[in-house]
Amino acid sequence: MREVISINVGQAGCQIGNACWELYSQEHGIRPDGYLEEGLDRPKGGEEGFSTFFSETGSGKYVPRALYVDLEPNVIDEVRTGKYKDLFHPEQLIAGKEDAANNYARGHYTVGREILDDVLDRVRKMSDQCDGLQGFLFTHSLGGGTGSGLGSLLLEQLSIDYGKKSKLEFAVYPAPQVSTSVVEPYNTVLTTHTTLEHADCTFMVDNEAIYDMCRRNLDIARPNFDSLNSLIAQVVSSVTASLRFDGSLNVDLNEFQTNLVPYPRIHFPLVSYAPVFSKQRANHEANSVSEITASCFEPGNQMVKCDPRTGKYMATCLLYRGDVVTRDVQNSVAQVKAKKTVQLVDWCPTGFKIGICYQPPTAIAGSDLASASRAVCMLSNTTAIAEAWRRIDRKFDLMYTKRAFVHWYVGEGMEEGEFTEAREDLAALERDYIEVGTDSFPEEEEEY
Amino acid sequence: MSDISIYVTSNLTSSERRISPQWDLHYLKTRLELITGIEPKYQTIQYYPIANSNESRKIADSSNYNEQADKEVTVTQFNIVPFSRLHVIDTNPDSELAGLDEDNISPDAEFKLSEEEYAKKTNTVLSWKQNNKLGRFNPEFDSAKVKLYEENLAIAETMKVGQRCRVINIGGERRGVVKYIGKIEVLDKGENIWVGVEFDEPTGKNNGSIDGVKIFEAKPGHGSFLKPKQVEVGDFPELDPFMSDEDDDEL
Repeated sequence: MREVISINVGQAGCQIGNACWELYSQEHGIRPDGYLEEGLDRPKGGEEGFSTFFSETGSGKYVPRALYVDLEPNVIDEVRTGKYKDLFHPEQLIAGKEDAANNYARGHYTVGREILDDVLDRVRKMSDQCDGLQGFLFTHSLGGGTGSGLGSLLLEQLSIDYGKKSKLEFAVYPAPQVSTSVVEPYNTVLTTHTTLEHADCTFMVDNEAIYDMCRRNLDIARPNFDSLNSLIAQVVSSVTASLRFDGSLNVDLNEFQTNLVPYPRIHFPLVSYAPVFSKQRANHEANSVSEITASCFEPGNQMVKCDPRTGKYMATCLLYRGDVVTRDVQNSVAQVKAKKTVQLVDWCPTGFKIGICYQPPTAIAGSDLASASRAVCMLSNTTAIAEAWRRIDRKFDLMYTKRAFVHWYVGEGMEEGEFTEAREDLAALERDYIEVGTDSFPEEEEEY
Repeated sequence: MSDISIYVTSNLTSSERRISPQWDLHYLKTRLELITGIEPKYQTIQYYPIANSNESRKIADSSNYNEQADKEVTVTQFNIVPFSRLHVIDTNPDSELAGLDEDNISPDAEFKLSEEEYAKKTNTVLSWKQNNKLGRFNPEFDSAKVKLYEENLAIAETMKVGQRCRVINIGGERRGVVKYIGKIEVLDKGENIWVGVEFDEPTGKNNGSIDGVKIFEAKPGHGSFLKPKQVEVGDFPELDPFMSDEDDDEL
């Protein structure tokens, strides 16, 4: 077996975790109490894939291979008392008493350290139950205190304790326009620096991009976290579908890295998803394989706001699910390539990798997202995403040059030098992306 | 009583947050400080029952700030409803937030990593390319570039201004006249040889000008600049746009 342990850290991480596990449960026919739905004699989609994400207890009950970690108790208390309270073992839910107050230093050094041993113990217990652990899947935000501070601390520790096991992240990235907190740029830069060499592949999601998608495509006037998270869950589910369902092509966690990351630091693929439309529009929207494929190249379907037309692609994975045949996929990819909207880096091997999982996406009851017979999630490593780093780095500079709020961090025992060290690393990351995009041969089909 | 979700906004921030109705006002303010960066004693809080409407009432005014009094007020008293909004205003004249809302950061405030400093680092894309002889560090890179240039040059030398030509790519076939052959400084600093074409139909990119510099004369939307390899000269008379396309496999 090739198990994957999911670790949700901080409020955003835990809430996205909730949305994901609700969706996973429904996709595999598991009731909120962990038992199979009426009429099933085994989980949907094949037991082998299923067992990478769920373990079975002796009594026929299934338990997610997941850990929830937060420094304050409220979000986790809601899991303990919510609809899915029986799905999880109490040991999987770890909450402290005092939160990180939006401060990386509290999550990483003071408050976070106190809970660290406890968390590592639980991870050890869960990994002991695995036959062949593939790795870890993190969900956390980068802008807050717990997700950024404790999240990066855990990633560091897992590198020490589990060596080369894959570590993938789904990370909520600060929105381009408005910050969620005044120190968000600090937290983001600090955590990115710390995790840069510990995460193998990081899929970023910016709330503003998701928010706009909810408004524009799902007709939700004022989206809240629940609406955002249920959309994020569909995306996470598409990415993990190939691991969870038998008969899929991409079956290993480390294949994401193999296929998408040419150089370890350049590990932030842009995620796009289609189709996204509301039930009301479902009958009027086009949904053929070639249409949903083309949609993935529209900025409106991206999880991070940036302009891929300005960047170069290093690698692209198209993960289809549902009613899809290979020939349609090949034609669609040929169409995309022919349109030349995709500029490839031409000094290193690049390619389109295709994954097909025949399980269609599942619409959660009460969700705004219409059910679709097929969907596609595109993961593309493009230099365009460097735009996101540039934005946050400038915001960081604007504050740091005035040393605004640095005392909040120093007050938690952090050294000021860590700010400069982190910022320098991010500056090198920006350069790295520029370096990836240079040395191209002149495009043959250019037209001005 | 369980937490309620609300929006917290300030001049610099906007976020969805959870607050507990049992909190006292002072504690709420200390929480809001961590989000907005505004100290409790300088917080004036405006409550918007409907997050995106203008109707609001003031629930705290910094001009009569009193920490002790705040501790005796519980948030329940404000009847805050889910998904309403608290807007926090900073009344501190010497606020730490001053200047943080600037859109343009002054160049000397920006962190700079010089070419040399970047080149000194070992764990970078640059060092990887150097170590593995990729891109411009590949000995064949320059010769491949030169070869491509020479191929284009050879083709360009067989063309003459005034010749009929066609361009075939994914968009289909377009026909026109060669109007220019040569380097173009404004386009790519004179690096490549370009062919200026005036198409018969408005299927070009411009009117023969690039960045306001006229290279050749063409009707608006009829002109384009292409690499010689893309252009084929010969006996290609104007196509009748109303003639049906045999290859069209539309149903």
